[in-house]
Amino acid sequence: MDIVIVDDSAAMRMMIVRTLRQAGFGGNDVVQAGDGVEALEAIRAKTPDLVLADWNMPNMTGIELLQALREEGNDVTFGFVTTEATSSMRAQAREAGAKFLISKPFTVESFEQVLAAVMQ
Amino acid sequence: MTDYILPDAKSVQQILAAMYGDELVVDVDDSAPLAGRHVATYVGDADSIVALCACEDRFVAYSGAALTMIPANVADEMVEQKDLSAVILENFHEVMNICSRLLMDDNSPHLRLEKTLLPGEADAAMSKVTEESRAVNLKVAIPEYGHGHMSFLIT
Repeated sequence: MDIVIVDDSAAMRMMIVRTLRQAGFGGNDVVQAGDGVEALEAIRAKTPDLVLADWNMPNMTGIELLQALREEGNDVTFGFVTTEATSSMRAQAREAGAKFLISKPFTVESFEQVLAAVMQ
Repeated sequence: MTDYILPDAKSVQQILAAMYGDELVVDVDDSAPLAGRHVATYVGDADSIVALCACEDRFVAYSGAALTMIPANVADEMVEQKDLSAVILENFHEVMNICSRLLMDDNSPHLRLEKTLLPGEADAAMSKVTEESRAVNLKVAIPEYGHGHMSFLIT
């Protein structure tokens, strides 16, 4: 499986990679991007199976990235890993086409539960 | 709609323990001065500062180091030298981003982390703190690293 991880924090990208591995999703091909602009280029080039994106990032936010992908007709499975955890932000994510939202700080269990359901 | 949330020791412990382990301890402690701290600024949807988190060097070093398992003695040395590395500061920025969750809920206005400022850059931001501001002063002990002070201020 090809996964694109998008977060402006290198530490957070590293933690997501580690958590994916601990949740049983290791051994995948992972590409990292530092903001939405970088991610959009990577996704266009790679056609991944899954995008895990932060919400608040410089240059292009996660929600802007998702909207840009859907406008291009790209329906890649997209989920947020973010501090934006209120019900209004979850609703906004859902309306834009996100499959899930994992709130930071996250646990291995939260990744297991969400990804097992989404990636079936 | 109510105002932004002023966190308490319990809510701070819960969110930081999710990153650093259940042994993390948070106590209210008003003994440490606010001067000379690193400051995270949080802005509302109108992009004006609505809250701050002011943290001692030690909290910045320990929270940043522990996030990516930089050894404690390396963090201690940076504190002694008053020279925190770019990685530590970047990690601290992410810790402050995660702490934004403590300041809002479904019933409060929305906010987001704007930036993290070094001690010498924080005077303008700290001038937003007035007698009407609400504050909580905390001492945080991060397992395997040590303790430092952090204060949340709702401007």
